[in-house]
Amino acid sequence: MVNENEAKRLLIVDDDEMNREILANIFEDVYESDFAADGEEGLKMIVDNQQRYCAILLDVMMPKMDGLTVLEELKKDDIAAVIPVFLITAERSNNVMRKGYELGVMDIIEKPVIPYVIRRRIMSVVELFESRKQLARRVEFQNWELLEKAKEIIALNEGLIEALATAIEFRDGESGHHVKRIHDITHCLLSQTSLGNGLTAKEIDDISLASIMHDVGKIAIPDAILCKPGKLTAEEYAIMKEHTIKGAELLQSIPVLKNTKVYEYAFDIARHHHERYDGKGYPDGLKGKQISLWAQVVSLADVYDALCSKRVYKQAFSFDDAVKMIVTGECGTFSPDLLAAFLQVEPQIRKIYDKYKEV
Amino acid sequence: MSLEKLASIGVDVDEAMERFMNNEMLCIKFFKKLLNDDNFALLQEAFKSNDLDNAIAYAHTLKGVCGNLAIKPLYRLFDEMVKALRNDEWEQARKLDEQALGIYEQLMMIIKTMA
Repeated sequence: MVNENEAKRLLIVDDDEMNREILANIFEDVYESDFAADGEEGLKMIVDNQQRYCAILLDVMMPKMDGLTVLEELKKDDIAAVIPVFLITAERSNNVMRKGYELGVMDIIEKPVIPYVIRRRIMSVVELFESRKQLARRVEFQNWELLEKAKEIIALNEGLIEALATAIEFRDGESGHHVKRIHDITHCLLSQTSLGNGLTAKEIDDISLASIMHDVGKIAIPDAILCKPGKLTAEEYAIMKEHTIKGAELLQSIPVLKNTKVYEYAFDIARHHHERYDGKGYPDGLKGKQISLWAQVVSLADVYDALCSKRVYKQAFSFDDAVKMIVTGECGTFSPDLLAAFLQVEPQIRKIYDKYKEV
Repeated sequence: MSLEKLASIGVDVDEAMERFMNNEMLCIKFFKKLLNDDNFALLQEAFKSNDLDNAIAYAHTLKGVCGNLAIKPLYRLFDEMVKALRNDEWEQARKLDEQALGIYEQLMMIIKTMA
């Protein structure tokens, strides 16, 4: 954390050679010195290389630009707040002192200088500035650490959500890639088409994360029904359909989750990803725009993925067949806007299947 | 040591040495530089031509030099001279300059004899 390249140089701005040498000699054992013989040169050196100096020792009466003018210029750039500036002057007039302090000098030291006095006064201030800087750096570092921690926690949360969803998926004999694909398809539809207009990148990320949990309710469905290879009886199907309600209930019962933005999406998606645009879906029979955009998007992603994947009760359809079945209304009913957006990015969606291949 | 001779015209040798952190070489170097310093001559010219701005500037410089080298009598004279000139008190300033002239010449004599 300690920066070894710390500014350890003085800048001595004085038109008199003896003054420059006396000052440099006084500090020789602690700081090296740079010199400027007039205000103009001094100002340029400061502005050009602020990081180089731990203090500026400034004479008042100088040719070209006097010390007070240099101070005025430094004040404009707020440099005096970062590098302590000392006026070294024989001018003990009230006027010069007041103006100097107004312009932000740290201290005014009389000429002829008394070495032990000037050493003490300048070194204490330099140390103060140094420790302030170090404190600021430490705070900055701690903030960075906190940010890193926050990122870790977010990653952990996302990991847990994914783990839960994947665990449920394993129960009905799938690979765990289904939820990852739903996530990516949802993200693709919202970020690559006009469907996502009005949503921020963060909201799209949250919705995509929430999509992973669309089937959490399946945890409440008995194996005998969930894993049944054959056709479900009407009674079994009724129980199967309850995974939407059970999923929403499950999410509702996790207090920590409830305070997050993801929860709102996850609840809605879990409950409504089997609603249909024509109102013939379940559990609530919502119709058209009553179904939220995200529930509609996840619904389409779920149907598409189910068609393209092999299940215990069916073989996988080709991508082309899956698209045809969706567009013709053979599988599900979707809004025209959603279908248009889907067709637009469907070639991109196919690539997701290269990423998460079924084994 | 050679600096001691300077005490005879009122130089506070200890103070001068302290200012140079007891670096005698450095201290002597700046006393010797006075031999080629033309500020005093320029000050005289400024008085002759009634050039107030330059008189202030040279007197100020000399005050600084004498302060650093702890040449006490000259430091006091130039300090007062700067004040007088700033108040436009030419007569007073000239009186001070006359006093300074004698001491300055003595100072040059001593420095010339320094090793």
